[in-house]
Amino acid sequence: MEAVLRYILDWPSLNSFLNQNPWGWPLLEVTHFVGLALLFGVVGMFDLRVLGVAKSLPLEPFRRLLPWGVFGFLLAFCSGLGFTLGLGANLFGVNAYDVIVTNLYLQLKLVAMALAGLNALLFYVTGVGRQVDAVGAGEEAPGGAKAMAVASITLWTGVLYFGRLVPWGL
Amino acid sequence: MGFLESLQNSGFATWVRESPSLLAYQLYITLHTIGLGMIVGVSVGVCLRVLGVASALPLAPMEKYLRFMWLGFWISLFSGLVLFILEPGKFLTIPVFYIKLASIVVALVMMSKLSGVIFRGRTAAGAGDAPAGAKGLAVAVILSWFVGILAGRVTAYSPLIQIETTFAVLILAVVLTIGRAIFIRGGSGERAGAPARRSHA
Repeated sequence: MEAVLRYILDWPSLNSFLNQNPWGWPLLEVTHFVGLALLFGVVGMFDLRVLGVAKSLPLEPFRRLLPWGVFGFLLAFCSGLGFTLGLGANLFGVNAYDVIVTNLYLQLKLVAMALAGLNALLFYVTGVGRQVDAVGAGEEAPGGAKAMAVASITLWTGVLYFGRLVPWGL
Repeated sequence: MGFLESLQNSGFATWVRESPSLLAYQLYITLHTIGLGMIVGVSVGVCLRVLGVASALPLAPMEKYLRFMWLGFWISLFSGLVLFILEPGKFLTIPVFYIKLASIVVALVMMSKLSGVIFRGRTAAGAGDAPAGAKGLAVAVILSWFVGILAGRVTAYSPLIQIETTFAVLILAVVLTIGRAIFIRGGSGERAGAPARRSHA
């Protein structure tokens, strides 16, 4: 199992690309930060409305802003994969497997991301999303949706916090 | 310079710089990132709405979000000042650091102007299209944050890498913009359908 994972996580081409192009790593960083700001802002604004901030906003049309949060997530996700799989360029020859197994902050970040993803999945599959769609201007969101909004804000803040600490866990 | 030097050599700055504690350097760098997420995220979220995303959403109530943008600003400013006094001489001699500060100022000034247009006075907007001039300001705000993040991130690199990275970011941005224009032709149904679904709020 470990050998398989090491093989999958080994990307010599990415490592040499980042080694040969000094702009590669900062480009990943800029993309990561633009993505996280977009994700955190758009999702955070939606969660805050569910919690009662800017209550005059109806929630159904708000949904149309969310794809931009997803786009931010994709930017951050792709650049984050670049960091993880290309780390060997920065820390000579390191395999991402060792980083994932030993870096506590990365582990906490990935757990928080998984929980945030699960939270979003539950929002859609348990029908809370449909309840929220019915929340018009000036109306209060149901308690379940509020709990999910609190979880979402907390988990994404955790992702930012632990994510920024990853270099200290190396 | 004497004042900055005494700050840099203060017990607090030395502790923040050198302590492995999560309450030292790592607290301020994480706060700076969370603050950035709040200030840029909320500001860009409002700008996207001004540019026509989710245009059925009434614009005026979004003013309530601005306090979270300013909360993010104060968090970033506070943590940024602490990070600055750790090595003031270094930051003051890096040109991109000034570009970063200037773009933050530009973004905030443009955002204040935008707020004036969309939230206050006779032009205050509901659902549908944002008032004239708002879209240009929204684009300016987004571009300023973009420049700010770029300049902030490349501060740690040499000038040559800074320039190379800027070109790489520009090329990536152009590719993404073209991709968006190809895949979401005509800005999708949300814009076309917006005037018909005016909010009754």
